[in-house]
Amino acid sequence: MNPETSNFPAEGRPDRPFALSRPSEECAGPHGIEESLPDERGQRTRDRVLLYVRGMDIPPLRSLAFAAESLSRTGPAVSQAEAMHSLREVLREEGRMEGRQYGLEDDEDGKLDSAPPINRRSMIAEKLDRKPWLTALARLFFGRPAISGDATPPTPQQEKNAQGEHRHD
Amino acid sequence: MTEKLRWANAALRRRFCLLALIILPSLLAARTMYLLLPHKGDENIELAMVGLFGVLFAWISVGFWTALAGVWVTLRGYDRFTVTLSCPEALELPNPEVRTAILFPVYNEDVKSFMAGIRTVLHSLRGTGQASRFDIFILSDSTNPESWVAEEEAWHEFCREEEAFGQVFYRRRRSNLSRKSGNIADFCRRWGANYRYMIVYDADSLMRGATMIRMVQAMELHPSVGILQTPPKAMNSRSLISRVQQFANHLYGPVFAAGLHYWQLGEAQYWGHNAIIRIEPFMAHCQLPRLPGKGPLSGEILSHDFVESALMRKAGYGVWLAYELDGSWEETPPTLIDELIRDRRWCQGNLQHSRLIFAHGFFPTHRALFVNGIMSYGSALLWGLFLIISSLQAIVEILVPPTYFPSTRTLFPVWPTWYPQWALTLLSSTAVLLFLPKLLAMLLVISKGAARGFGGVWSMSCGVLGEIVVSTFLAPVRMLFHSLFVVTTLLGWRVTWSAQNRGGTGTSWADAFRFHWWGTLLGFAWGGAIWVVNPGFFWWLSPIVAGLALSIPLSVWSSRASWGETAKHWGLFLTPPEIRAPEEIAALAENLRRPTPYSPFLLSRRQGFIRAVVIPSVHALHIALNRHQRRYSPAQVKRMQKLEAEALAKGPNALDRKAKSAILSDPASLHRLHVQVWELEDGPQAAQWGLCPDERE
Repeated sequence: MNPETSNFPAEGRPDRPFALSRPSEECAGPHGIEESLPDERGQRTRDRVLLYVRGMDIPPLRSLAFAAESLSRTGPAVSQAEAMHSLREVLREEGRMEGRQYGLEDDEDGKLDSAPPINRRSMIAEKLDRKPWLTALARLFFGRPAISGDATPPTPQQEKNAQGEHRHD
Repeated sequence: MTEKLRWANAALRRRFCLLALIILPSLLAARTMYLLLPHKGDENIELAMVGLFGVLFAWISVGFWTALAGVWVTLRGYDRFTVTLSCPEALELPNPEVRTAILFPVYNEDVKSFMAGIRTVLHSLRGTGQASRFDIFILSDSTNPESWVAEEEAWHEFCREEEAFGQVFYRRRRSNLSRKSGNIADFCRRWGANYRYMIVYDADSLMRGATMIRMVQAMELHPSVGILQTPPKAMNSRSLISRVQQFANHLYGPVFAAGLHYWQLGEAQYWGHNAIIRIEPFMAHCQLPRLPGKGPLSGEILSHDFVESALMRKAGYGVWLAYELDGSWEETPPTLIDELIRDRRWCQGNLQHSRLIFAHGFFPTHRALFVNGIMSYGSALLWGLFLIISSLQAIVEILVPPTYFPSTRTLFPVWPTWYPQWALTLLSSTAVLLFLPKLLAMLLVISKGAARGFGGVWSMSCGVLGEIVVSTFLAPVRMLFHSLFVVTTLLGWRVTWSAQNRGGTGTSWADAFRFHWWGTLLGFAWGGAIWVVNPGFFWWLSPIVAGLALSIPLSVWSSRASWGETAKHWGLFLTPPEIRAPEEIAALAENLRRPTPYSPFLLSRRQGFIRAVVIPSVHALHIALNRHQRRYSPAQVKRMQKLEAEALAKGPNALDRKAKSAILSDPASLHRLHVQVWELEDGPQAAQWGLCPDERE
């Protein structure tokens, strides 16, 4: 759409056609700091920071504010690693790193419980006499039940493995 | 007389009746077979035929009399021992102490599918106004790290959308001990004491909220019931074979379920899902033992449901089949190969029960059910042997001159005589056993005015004929594979397959050839040999050899959704949910169509590991869910650092499942990788993590 001939009201029409950004053309940034329009490296740094905050689970304006704050500290001409370091500092200051993770409803230790508190009980297999005729014979001749052929409960190590899943709860 | 004694006495009478109805005609049939054979059982081969025929006749008689009992119950309208008969009309659970857990055990399932099922179940429960009495647990045993992260994400999103925090829970087990039964037992140990009942689902199960409330009511009214099983109906079938099974399930299933209830009463079977269980006796008595020894019949009990129901009954609690309850569904395997892969596991599990048949304390019915389960696969082997022996007999009769004067002195020569009319009589009797139940089920549907649910009388009749044709051709293939499963299990041979059913496109010709080439060869060789030697016998054998010879195309064509759709278009194999979808099935379809939530990252939900490393919100969620104190030895720390370095240098695709799981299990390591990945400059390394386009392309 050509803004010169558009139906925009006169007061809303730009004075001149939208200009392509040119390197090193200066303007005032949102923090009142004079900054150069970004070259390619700067664009990549900016986009990396923006991508990160877009991936956070927080309101859009807040995320943009974090991005702006971190870029204003370093300037856009730094490496992506430096920009990310700066962003992490900003997030840490805002309590958005360890602890309150990106807006999740978690406790102060940064842990989120997806399951209710454990109310532990045991569940143990009963011994199953798979060859009762042997037991009957043993009882008849020796006065005690036979054990051979029993289907057994899990061994203590197997029970421990089963219980061991709880050790991190 | 107590309720328990009343049904126990009735059960005893009914089962004696069933035994008589099975044994007497089977003896008669075996005798007829004996008389029609040319040498009247003088030869060992004929004796073997008679023995096998008697056993097989008895086996199919079980299904026949079960169906007839079901017809009787259906015509009467009720069975006086129906568990839900005394339930009140209103769908209310007045006792606030009664809480029920709904369990969804999952193992590397499609996350979107089972979450859609959970959403449907939750909405259905909320519609009853009793949802606060139920909690839902997603019990994950997933070993695939991609599935692990996808499940966490899906759970969190679900709870936010549905305001279900505190009602829908997610737990992932670190180890897969004892598979599904261990998964359920783990839930029982951790949270079982918080609930009176648990309703166990499969990942592809669905139940109506009202049905679940009815089940809880029945359990409350009958404190001696330990397990109440519903008969799930098939749903959402698209391929031809699954549509045929769905049709059979809807048409014949209710009659068979009613018949099973008639014989079993309080000693029924638990099928592993779509059932409600009383938790306290389950925890006290139903933990599965391990079978001693080595080999496929030892170790963990695979088919846990049969044994759990036997243990529950042993503890004095009834196991009932709520045949009359509607609103319970499950999906069927979409292809023949998927069905056979499943049958391989079930066969091994059922054969394990041979070691429990004589265990002390089990009721006779459950011992009989163990035998029944073994015969589900063993009968295929017996049938195969019968066919082989019959073929050998047919060949021997042609190639070996008859002995007119046997060693025992006779006045006259002994002429081997065939009685084809008796053979036809026997064949007709067998056909009656196999097909009369189908006809009766159809007539019942017509008499109740429900034929419209199957597309009308003509459509339903064509569907029955079509189902008979498809089943006839597939039966020899199933027989062959089931026989193979039994033999390899007993010999301790491990046979593993993997087939890829890619997104509903069905079985490929390559996969079908890989699975069925030997059956096809056998069909041609067997049929060819009989045709050459004894053409008369060939026609008796033709349905068997035709099924085997055509197993490759049958496997491919029956797996095609397009063939299923064509059949549907012609009005074949229609079922009531397709004519008029129940609210829950319609809701499930709608929930499956929900779009994936927006993300600025072009990373699919199947790339769970990369998402956990890269996407800040997913990363934070995973760490928050897995934040635990864990001490690593110096060697383990070194190993983790090596993994991180490898992931950073070579990208996520260089890591195998084990490495990814190790990183995901260590929040500190995962966080270090997250920081380092985000600090990568744009380039090929960063592109591998989805942070920028790959500019080499």
